[in-house]
Amino acid sequence: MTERIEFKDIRHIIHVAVILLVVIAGFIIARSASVPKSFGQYGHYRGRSIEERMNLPVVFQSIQTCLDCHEEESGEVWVGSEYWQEGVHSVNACENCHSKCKEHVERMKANPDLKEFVITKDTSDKLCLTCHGILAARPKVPEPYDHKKHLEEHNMKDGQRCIECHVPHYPAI
Amino acid sequence: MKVSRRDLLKRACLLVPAGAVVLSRRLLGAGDKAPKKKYSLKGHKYTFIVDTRKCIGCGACVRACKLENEVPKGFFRTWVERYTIGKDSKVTVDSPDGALHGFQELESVPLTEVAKAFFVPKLCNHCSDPPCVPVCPVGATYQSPDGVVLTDPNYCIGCAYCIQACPYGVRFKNPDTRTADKCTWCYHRITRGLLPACVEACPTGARQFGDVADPDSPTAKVLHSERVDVLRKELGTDPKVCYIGLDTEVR
Ligand code: HEC
Ligand code: HEC
Ligand code: HEC
Ligand code: HEC
Repeated sequence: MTERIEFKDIRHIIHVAVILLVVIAGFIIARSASVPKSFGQYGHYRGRSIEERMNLPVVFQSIQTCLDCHEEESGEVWVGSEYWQEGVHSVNACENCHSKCKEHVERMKANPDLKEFVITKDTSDKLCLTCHGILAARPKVPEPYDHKKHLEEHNMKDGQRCIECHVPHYPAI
Repeated sequence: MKVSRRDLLKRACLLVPAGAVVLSRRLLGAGDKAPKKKYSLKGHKYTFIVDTRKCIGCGACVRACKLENEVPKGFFRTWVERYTIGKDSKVTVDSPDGALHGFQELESVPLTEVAKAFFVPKLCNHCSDPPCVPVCPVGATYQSPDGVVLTDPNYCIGCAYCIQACPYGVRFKNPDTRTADKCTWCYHRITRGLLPACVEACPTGARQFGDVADPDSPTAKVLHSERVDVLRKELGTDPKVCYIGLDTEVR
């Protein structure tokens, strides 16, 4: 014995199917509206985010950037010269002692004849001592250094600044 | 020379594509400039090496990082810790202001009482199996195809699950953007072929960075000649920051 399916039964199925379709369509529309386009491009995240990260600006300047312009002996300080290259501070990024380097580079590139500088020159002993002061935890390279003893040894009065005897760009004497 | 209307039209039609080619080369900058080599997300194996024996605790890296990434006051993407082990075996760990201004002599442990002491720079380990990524409910933190763990500040909802999940404590909630923030190995620099700012600033070579997919790179050479370790290996996160000269006290 077979059951007969009447047309009025099929109508119920169509109703359910239509509702289901509307729900699915609604979900797809809502999803495509709320999920960013690049989501899932590489994985479960916004693929464009990678590009956004890559396009952030570079601020801290490499030594090479500075040397592009300061290649020759520059005044008293020997930056970029043979001395500097062989000196112990050639591994020391310029920006460790000079700040606002990015602004300086941009300004000098735009107008090399400027005579007003935004870049700073930190001439304090404090700066030298962040790297050279004696600390128990500090390894022996560079030679940890006792300012007071140092000055006594060299017969100098207290308060004489490091850069009066050491050229910051070529400090070894 | 007489040119029929038909010929003129014909030539004009030929001129249009020719002009288009010239113009497009102009606009795209081809011809006079070598095309900029596009960064490929594939085939990289970045590794960061920290040689704790060389770190002098000057804090140049911390200052460079702050400058480069506009890290808000009081928060750090990288910092330097000082471990002081006294003659009584007591361990003192300190990091005054993340070493932003370097270190002063430790007052609580006099110099004569110090058995050994050393500095340990810390940063995101960019784990190969990062615990911070799967906990994100929206997919705002992820591992890029080149293996760098990044955050998406434009998509982050600031729930801070990832900050809880990180066993190394390298994540923080940026008070300005109210989103999760952390070291990216200066992704914008390394994808341009530059070094991370902290590596650039380090005056002693205590921080080294490179792509060890190239076995001849200096980083690969160090990795293959020195004895390296990672932090908290037992967690199985497989960090990509390798340390030389770690002590058992370092967590
Ligand atoms: C585009 C070229 C250019 C670049 C790049 C550049 N400089 Fe300069 N800089 C100059 C010029 C030109 C002067 C002026 C020199 C002079 O008058 O003797 C100058 C002057 C200076 C001065 C002296 C400022 C003063 O107050 O006397 C310092 C310090 C300096 N530069 C540091 C740097 C550092 C550090 C970098 C790298 C971040 C750098 N420069 C990159 C062109 C450049
Ligand atoms: C150890 C800290 C230190 C580093 C590293 C350093 N400088 Fe200097 N620089 C100084 C100081 C201090 C002065 C000021 C010297 C003075 O006034 O006697 C100075 C002065 C200068 C001047 C001005 C010279 C003049 O005649 O007034 C230039 C240009 C300069 N630096 C460029 C550079 C460049 C380029 C680099 C990187 C290659 C660099 N510096 C790295 C500390 C440093
Ligand atoms: C950012 C850290 C840093 C700063 C700031 C710094 N130095 Fe140095 N300095 C070093 C390092 C590192 C070396 C040793 C490099 C080497 O031997 O490979 C060194 C070497 C030296 C040496 C030679 C030491 C030796 O054993 O021969 C002298 C002298 C010196 N610095 C003086 C100064 C003076 C003066 C200043 C301040 C103007 C200064 N330094 C600022 C990091 C620094
Ligand atoms: C009066 C001049 C003078 C002043 C000021 C001075 N130094 Fe020196 N410094 C010297 C001389 C000379 C030497 C070489 C000593 C030697 O070779 O025995 C030296 C050597 C050094 C060395 C190498 C390590 C050592 O002990 O031999 C360092 C590091 C150093 N000075 C850092 C500094 C710092 C940092 C300051 C400032 C806080 C400073 N010096 C101030 C003259 C001076």
